[in-house]
Amino acid sequence: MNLRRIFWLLPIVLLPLPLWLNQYQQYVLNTALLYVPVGIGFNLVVGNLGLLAFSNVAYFGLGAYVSGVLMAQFDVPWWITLLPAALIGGAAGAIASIPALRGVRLFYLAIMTLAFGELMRWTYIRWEALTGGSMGMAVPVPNLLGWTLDTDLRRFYVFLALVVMLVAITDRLLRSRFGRAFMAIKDNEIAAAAMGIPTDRYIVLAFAWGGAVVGIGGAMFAISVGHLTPVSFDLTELLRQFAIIMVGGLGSLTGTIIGAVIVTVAPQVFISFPGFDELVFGLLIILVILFLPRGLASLLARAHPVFVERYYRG
Amino acid sequence: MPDAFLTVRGIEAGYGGRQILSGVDLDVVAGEAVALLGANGSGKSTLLNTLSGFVRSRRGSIRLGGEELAGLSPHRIFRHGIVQVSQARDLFPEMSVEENLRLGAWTRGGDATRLLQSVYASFPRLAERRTQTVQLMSGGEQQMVAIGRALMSQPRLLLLDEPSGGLAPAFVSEIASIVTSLKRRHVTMVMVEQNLRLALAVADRIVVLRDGVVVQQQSAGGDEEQIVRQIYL
Repeated sequence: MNLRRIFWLLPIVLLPLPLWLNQYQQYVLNTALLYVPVGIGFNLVVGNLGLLAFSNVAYFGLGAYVSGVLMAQFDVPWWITLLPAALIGGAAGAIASIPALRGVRLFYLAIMTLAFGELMRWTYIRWEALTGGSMGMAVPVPNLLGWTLDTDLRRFYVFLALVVMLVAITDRLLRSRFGRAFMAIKDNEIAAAAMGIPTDRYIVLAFAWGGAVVGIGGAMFAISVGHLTPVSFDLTELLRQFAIIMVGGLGSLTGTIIGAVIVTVAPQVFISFPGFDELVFGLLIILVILFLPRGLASLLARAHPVFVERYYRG
Repeated sequence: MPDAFLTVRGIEAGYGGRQILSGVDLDVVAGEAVALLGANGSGKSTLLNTLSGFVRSRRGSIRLGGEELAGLSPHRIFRHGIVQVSQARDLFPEMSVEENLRLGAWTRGGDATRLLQSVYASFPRLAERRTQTVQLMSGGEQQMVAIGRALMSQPRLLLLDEPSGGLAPAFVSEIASIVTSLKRRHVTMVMVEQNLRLALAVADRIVVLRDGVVVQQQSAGGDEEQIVRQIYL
């Protein structure tokens, strides 16, 4: 008997939720949903593989702009843009893994990959013909097989379906021998190679898979905000995404979901004080590191064995 | 002498600009246990690391059962059946005993429960501590996990880098009996061992290295004092 199956009830329980929310709250809920894949990709590399790569915002921005530009300039339907958004996000992930393959680790890797994200932001600003430069670009209202996604309520159901799918696939990946390989690399890379694990291949795979999932999150972001500007992909954004995986729990899929919700909802408390976001993310990160270094997921894991994830230590 | 299972010819290897091995030749017969002896810096561990691929050879040939392995990456060499239990033990410190053991059979995929049972049968102490985190275990127990994990992959050639290094005397004799039992099961082994008495007790043959070349080979039955002279003088 697999108690974990009850987790699949959660999306069903969530179905009527937006009906009780006002339009703004629905928008916040959608934002929390789209940050689940964004956090999943980030956590796969940082939490499961154990490499400190900060290029997540690059994949996020690429996914958003690929989707937005294809829709606005080439009339490609949104759901079709998900594929190139994932592919380009994945390719960017594979490229970002190159320094790691060359043996760059820790803060050297962090800085190099961080520069990748900043380089992409510079590209969005400079490539005005496609992106509208620093003024940004409008993203057309998407259409899903004849159904116009013009309200947050409608987008919610599409997002929920996408998120459930991505969580399910990543869960499978992490419980397979791939997940065991990631954990072995995280724990002791040399020992992993000594046990016949082709570590380079798995590092590229984790980065590429992470980049692809984040790219899809970017495409969701594009239609959720309806307007893309380079400032959405700056260092504050990186701090937000880092807060998601730290608060949730490094290496935990459940934690990523919790982190996405908390980090999205918490700044709403300070909604009338613009610019407080960074403060909230920073505070959340500090509090979690001090009191719950394994993240909120570790509380759940301690509360009941059903929450214990096979390849995450709570 | 029967045909060699492992044939090493003219291996040169080193770190950076420093050459450590300058043309090593070595033959090991299937089921044989060979002890590499030599003073510090003679190239014993480098030879093991070159056989397992962690140090890349610059010249020469390494053949196992006729297949050329020189220059392959460690994970490929592992798949050919050469498995090293290294001095640093190379365990997964945050994982349990059982998780470490199971990772030894990672390349096989599927369920490794049958193999696991046979390792537990050889190492009852590991069965008792199967859920314990490896980093909390003593050096001797960690060495057992490392050897047990290597056996999980059913190696064709087991490389042991100082199996008794840094262990309490009680564990040294335990490791000796483990190595002896491996020999009874006809596991082919090449080991580096500073403890001469242990090496002479468990090995069939000793090979003495000096300055990166083999200077002496003989059966392990020889005179201890004479061997010490060969190594150090």
